[in-house]
Amino acid sequence: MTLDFTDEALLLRLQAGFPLHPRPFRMLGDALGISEQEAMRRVQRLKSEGYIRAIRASFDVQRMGAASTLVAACVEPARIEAVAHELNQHPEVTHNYERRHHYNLWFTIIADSRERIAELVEQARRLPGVIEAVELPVLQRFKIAAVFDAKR
Amino acid sequence: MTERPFAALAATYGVGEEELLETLRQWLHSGVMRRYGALVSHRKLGYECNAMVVWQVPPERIAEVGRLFAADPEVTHCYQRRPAPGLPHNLYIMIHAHSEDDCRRKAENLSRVAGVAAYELLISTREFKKDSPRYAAPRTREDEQGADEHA
Repeated sequence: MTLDFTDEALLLRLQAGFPLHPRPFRMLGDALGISEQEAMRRVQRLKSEGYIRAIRASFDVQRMGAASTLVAACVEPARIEAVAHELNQHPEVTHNYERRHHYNLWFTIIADSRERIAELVEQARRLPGVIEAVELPVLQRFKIAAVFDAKR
Repeated sequence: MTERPFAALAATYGVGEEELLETLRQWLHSGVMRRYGALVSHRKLGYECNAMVVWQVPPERIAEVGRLFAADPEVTHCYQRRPAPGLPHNLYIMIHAHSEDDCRRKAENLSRVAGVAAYELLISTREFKKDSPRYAAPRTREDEQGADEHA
């Protein structure tokens, strides 16, 4: 599937915000000069083709009373998949990437409390193959936003 | 998919469409909800490379450099983080670009613009998990998963 100009405009708009309106597709259609039905069809297609992963609410972690952190772990390369798999069992582990660095496994935790985060980090340190793990909590946020346009 | 996705969603909670929309609008207005919108697959859109770039910024310049990086549209996240043993960096950004070379060039540019020479690129080699966080809402039972989905 190739994206035309309308798809690209739709993707940008949908990322900026899905209209909180009883007929959101009509609103989107009006903005793009297409019908409500066509807006629906295009959104449906962008979803089924995997361009859109979800349309949903994103909450402010702090305002929700949740605690979050980033953990960098140094893991024996042979154990990295097993360790990642173990960590991913926890719903509080939201992102988990292997990166090219001494600390080769990087994961984020969002949990109910600081105590729970400390517990999860301690558990991670005890997993076989984990040499060390350090916590990198946020001190200040300058930007949390990701709006992507389609590039080819 | 339906013309009235919020009516369908509201019905699953046994509330009215307008009540649900009003709640969502209030959450957005108060800032509890940052956004209600699409999450896209950046790989699908051609952003093949995701790099975390970590910087050692002199503490007295952190706010200035943080705001500078945040203003760049190719920088998607920009946080000051606490340094740790082996990771003396204090400013963390994410860059999404089409290739590793593009990520490197971008980081070099930012380094020049900000006048910060000490940085490292951490290229992701594998994605083991990328999930939406779930929260228990403070007052209602509606969680993020609940507020999800139109199809």
